[in-house]
Formats: sequence, C-alpha cells, structure tokens
Amino acid sequence: MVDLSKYKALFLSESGEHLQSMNDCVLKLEQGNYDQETIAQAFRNAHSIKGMAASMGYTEIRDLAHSMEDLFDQLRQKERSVDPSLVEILFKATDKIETMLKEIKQDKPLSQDGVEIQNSIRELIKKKPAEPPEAKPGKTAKEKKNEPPKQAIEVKVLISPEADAPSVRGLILYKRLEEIGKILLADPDKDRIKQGKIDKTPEGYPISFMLEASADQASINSTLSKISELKKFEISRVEIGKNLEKEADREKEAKPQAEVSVAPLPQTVRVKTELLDDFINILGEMILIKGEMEEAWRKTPQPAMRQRLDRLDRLTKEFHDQVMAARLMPVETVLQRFPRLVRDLARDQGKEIELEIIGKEIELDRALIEKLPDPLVHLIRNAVDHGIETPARRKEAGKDPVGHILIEASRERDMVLLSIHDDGRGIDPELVKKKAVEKGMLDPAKADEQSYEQILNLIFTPGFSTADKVGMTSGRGVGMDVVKTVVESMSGMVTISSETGKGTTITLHLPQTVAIVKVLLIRLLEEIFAIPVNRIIRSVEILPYQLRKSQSQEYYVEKQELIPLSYFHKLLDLKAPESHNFPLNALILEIQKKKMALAVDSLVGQEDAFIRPLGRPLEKIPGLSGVTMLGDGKIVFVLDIAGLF
Amino acid sequence: MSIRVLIADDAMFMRNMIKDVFAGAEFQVVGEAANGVEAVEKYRQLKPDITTMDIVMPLKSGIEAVREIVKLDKQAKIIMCSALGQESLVMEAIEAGARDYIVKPFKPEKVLEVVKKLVAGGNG
Repeated sequence: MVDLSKYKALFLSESGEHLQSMNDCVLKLEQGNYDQETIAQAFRNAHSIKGMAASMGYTEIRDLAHSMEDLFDQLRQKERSVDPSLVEILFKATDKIETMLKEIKQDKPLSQDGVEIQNSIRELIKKKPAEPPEAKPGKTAKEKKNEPPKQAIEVKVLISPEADAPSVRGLILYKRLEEIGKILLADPDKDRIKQGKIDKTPEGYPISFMLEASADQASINSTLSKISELKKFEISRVEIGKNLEKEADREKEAKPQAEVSVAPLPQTVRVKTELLDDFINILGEMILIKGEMEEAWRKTPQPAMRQRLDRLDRLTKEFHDQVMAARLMPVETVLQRFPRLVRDLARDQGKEIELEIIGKEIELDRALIEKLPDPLVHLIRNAVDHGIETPARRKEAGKDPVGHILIEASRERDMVLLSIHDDGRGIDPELVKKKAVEKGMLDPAKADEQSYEQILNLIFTPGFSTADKVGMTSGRGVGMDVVKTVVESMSGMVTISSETGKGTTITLHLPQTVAIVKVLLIRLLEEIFAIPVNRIIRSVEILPYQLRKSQSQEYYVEKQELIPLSYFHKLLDLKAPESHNFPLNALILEIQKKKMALAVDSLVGQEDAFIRPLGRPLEKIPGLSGVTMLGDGKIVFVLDIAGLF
Repeated sequence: MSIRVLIADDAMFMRNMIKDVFAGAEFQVVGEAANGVEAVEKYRQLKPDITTMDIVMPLKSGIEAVREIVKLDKQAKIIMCSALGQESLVMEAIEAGARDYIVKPFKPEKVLEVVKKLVAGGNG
C-alpha cells in the first residue's frame, strides 16, 4: 500500500486552487457570462479535482467532481444551457467539496451527504432540456447511427535516421502541417516531439498525424516535399471511430492550454512555507556571525578581510531580499473569497451589490496575508450589513438601486494600501456621538468639540457597535477594535473616511516587508522585554542546591559545569532583587564565547515578533535592536544581547 | 535568377565559410550581418530570398531577429545555424517563425539541400 499521507498537503493546495477557479467560473455563469472559455475552464477544473481525488482515494470527492465534470461537459457541447437552478446546484456542489477538503485537512471523516447533491446533478443530466438550445440542432440516437463514419487524413512521416536534430525536424513538420489543416492527433504528441521523445528505429524516426478531413492532400504532399531530412511519407484518407475524435477533443480540452503562448511560461515551484521560515532563520544566524566577524575585524584589522567582509555583507543582503521576495504573495489569495461572500450576503439580505476588485496582483508578505482574512471579512460584512442600503431605500435616496463595493490594493512607496469602499449610507457622526456617550466612551461635555475624524475613530474603541441588534452576519466577536489591533500588530494602521449618505472608505496601511523573529519574552520588574531566541541556549529554573558561591561571584551548577550567574536587571541598569526567589528563572546565554546565566523575574512566553526598527535617536542605543507589538497591543523593546556587554 | 542570400553570424570566419557554400551561379550573397540588429536592418533593405541566422549574437539574439523579421515579412525564409545541443533554442526560433535549421559543423550538401527545398515552388 502506498502511503498517500505525504501527498495530502499538495493535494489540498492544488484542489483548493481548482475549486477556487471553478467557483469563479460558476459566478461568471451566474452573472450571465456564458463564454466557451469559462465553461471549458470549469470543465478542466472539475476534471482535475476528479483525477486527484481518485488517486488519493477520496471517492466521495471523486464522484461529486465527476458528476460536475459531466454537467460542465453538457454545457460545453451546448446540449444544455445555463439557468438559475443549474447555478444553484453547482454552488451547492462546490461548497460541499470545500467542506470535504476542510474535513480532510482536519483529519475528520468525510461527510456522506455529498451523495444527495450528486444524485441531483445526475438527475439534471438525464433530463432533456425543455426546448432545444439555440446552437447545434441535436441529433436523435437513430440519426447518429446512420451517419457516415467520420473521416480524417492520416499522414505518416519517417524522419531520416541521419537527421541532426529529430526533435527540431519533428517540430517543423508539426508547424507546417498545422498551417494546412487542423491536427486531430499526433503520435508522438507535440510535447513529446519537443522533448525529443520520438522512437528511433533503424529506418528512422516515425511520426504519424491525423488531420481533419477538409485538409487538402495535394497541399500536404507539396509541403512535405519541401521539408528536408524526411526519408519518406505517406498520405491517406481514413475512417476514424467517433471515439477517436471525441477523445482527442476531450484530451485537448482537459490539457491546460499551454501551446497558445510563444514565449516560455514563467517557471514556478511549490515551496512549503516552513522552508522559507528556515531560510530566514539560517540567514539570521549568518547575519549574526557576520556581525561577530566585523567585531573581530575592528579589533585586528586585516586589509584582505575587509573586501571579503564587504562582499559577504552584499551577499547576505541580496539573499535576504530574495527570500523576502519569495515570501510575497499577491493579495488576490486573500481577496478571492469575497465575490462569493458578497453575493451570498447580498442575497440573504435582499440587496443588490456589485463588487469590484482592483490591484489583486499587488503583493504582501505571506505572514500578513495569513492575518488578513478575519479583519477583511469583518469589514466587508460591515459594508454589506450597515453600509449598502436595500434597493428600495437607495431608490428613495436617488441612488442607483445596485450598491457598489470596491476593494482596492495599491502600493505607495514601501507600504501597501488596501481599501474597502462602499457607496452606502455612510457613517452618521451624530449616531456615533450618541452611542459613544451612552457607552461612557465620550465625555458629553467634550462631544461637540470633536472633529469629524475624531468621531469616526471612536468606532475603533473596544466595545463599540452601532448595530442595534447583533445580526446573523455581523457582530460575531470581531469588532472594529480587533481590526485595528490586528493591523497595528503588523506595524500597519487603519484610517477611515465617510460621507453621510454617500459612502464609507476604510483603508489599511500595511508594510510590504516584515522582519519576523522568534523571541522569548521576559519580565524584569514591571517591564517586558523580548530577546531573539537564537541567542539563548536554554532557559532554566534554578533551585537552591544548584548554586555555589566563590568569593563574590555566584555560579549555577549544571552537570559539573560552573556557569556565572547574575541578574539581567543589571544589564539595563534596573534594580535587581535583594534576594533570590526560588525557583529562580534564568536564561543561559553565550557571550563572547563564555556561558552566562542571567536571572529574570519570570518568563512570559515565546512569540513570532514583527520587529520594527527604531528610528533616530533610539537606534543609537547599544543593546536595543528594535520594538515589537505583542498580541495584546503592548509595545516592548527587543534586546540585542551582544550590545549589552 | 540567382537565389539571394543574407548571412547573419557574429564570427567573420563563419560568414566566410557559409559564403563559400553559396559560391556558384545559382546563389548570390547580397549581404552580411554581424549581430541581430544588423540582421533585421539588412533584411529590411535587401529582402533576400533566404537568410541564414546564427542563434547567439551580440546586441540582439538570432531568435529576436527572427521574430522581428517575420513581423515585417510573413513569408521570410530563415534558416537557423546552431551548434549541437542547442535544440531547445532552435525550437524556440522555429516557434518564432524560422523555417529550417542546419547544425554546425555543416556539410555543404546538407545546406544546399535545405536551401533548395525551402526555395522550391516559391511561397507556401
């Protein structure tokens, strides 16, 4: 039995992409966009999911995807046309597959109720449509039997065994024949020809083609005569089974259309995110060691070393930039769920909303991308629930009954701006003032002195909500204050602007590059500090019997090793405790090749910290390498151990 | 009427070798180019019947030159000259519009066969 679990992650990620694409196609169909390419794309997506699920043994997904593939095939062949009930069932099916993918991810057993949807689809497929669709007139089974069998032109070519580059010769053949008539089949196919995978016999390299019957045999003959390195060729008219043509069509449709472009497609590889994190960690170490080498150079300058150190510096910087670039992902990944979400929300609330997304190719660090879904969903829900009015209300107000939501991503220097704009009712400052005063967030005496902006920003106060009741779609524990905190934890900020009656725009200002470092949080007196984990050998809890004193220096004893102990507080000129509180929390560090134990008041925890550099003049202070914001909004200094000594 | 040939290669000795192949009454070497930019320019001026094009050239590659020449003359007949092992580049050139290829070191008979077949029967 093959162990399939190692393919699980890849299966989930690839199926997820196909599912997203299929979802987008069905959305387009619902919006009245019935073009062949959309239907073909959806067909390909279902076909791929079916295949992948089959190889992984997920029969429920395979069967459901198979039924969808057959339905899309009917649409493709114009045997059926798109109608609302068809769209509904397709959405149900994609949602069910999405649920099942989540179940696989969480190692839960797959839901079995996909069978119902499958049966509905199969029922639909069996039913003949009420009127024949406008395109091709359908043929009855009887008519199809008596139809003369399809014909094609078979061209068999033998490339001379002395050909210098048979793959090139094969390609030239392919292209010349293509100019004369449609190639139904090539054996070997174009890809294999280009890869040089043509069988070699003593006679030469055989390739056979099937061209459509309308091709002119005389032209084929004269064309082939003008191609060198051909030992011989044969042209004949043959009958092909209907299967051959259909199979050729189906395979062509199922293969991604890579042949259209002339320029080679950009090469990409899938990389596990952990690998990029590893790169950054290793790089962090390299930068530290480089720092130590610079120290050594300062103490004993050697001319030969300077050049090399400079080169090393450039190389590590370049490597760092490249890895950071690899961490970038287009915002599309986090925005692609919204067309469907807006459509569903609007339907539930009886509103008509058009969503436009601009700038989906703008890139953000994947760590930020991972944190954006919850806040963005909240903002979009707000826009739909509280922003856009019902069509009736909008008409009354002289507005287009269809509301508009615009999500726009743009770049400004080193920041990325992500804004959500709705043309709804806007935020009423009076309402906000009232609510804020009611909730004790605003002093009634000062209420009127507040500027419009200050009033708008009250929305970000924890506990604030202008919804009178918690609707089904809003108020589920993510408030505007959480949006603000999440964005600020990424070293970003939120701004809001609004015009009563006209609409609201909320903009997230996000840094494009982030430095993330694993830090250990320690408490010294009332303060919390962060120390990069890679500087720490170990943290320990010291008990009385593990201490020794010699002259005035205390030592922590571990496996016969004597490690000098002192209080961390002293490094920062803080008042150290008078006596030890056991168990004594301490960190073991290596400073200038010597081990040291530094006692702290307590260990708070470990975090992946976004480090923000300090500006002037704080950056000059030795021992401080930056600041970071903790999950609760608290700001702490990140210490540079080497600099403290 | 002799067949008019344009030779594009950055190495002079290569151009000379190819010129020698085309010595004879049936051919007339009407121009030479030492890089991709010159190749396109000379094609535009001379409108040769056949062009031999080296793949790797300074200023502009042979493949780029093919692309541009085919743009201004769909019927252009360009033969790529490549070294062994450059198949994928030759294929790129074919996709860009080159009609045939010869491999260095080439045998004069081979070159002549390719050229004559390409030119035979006029266009098409």
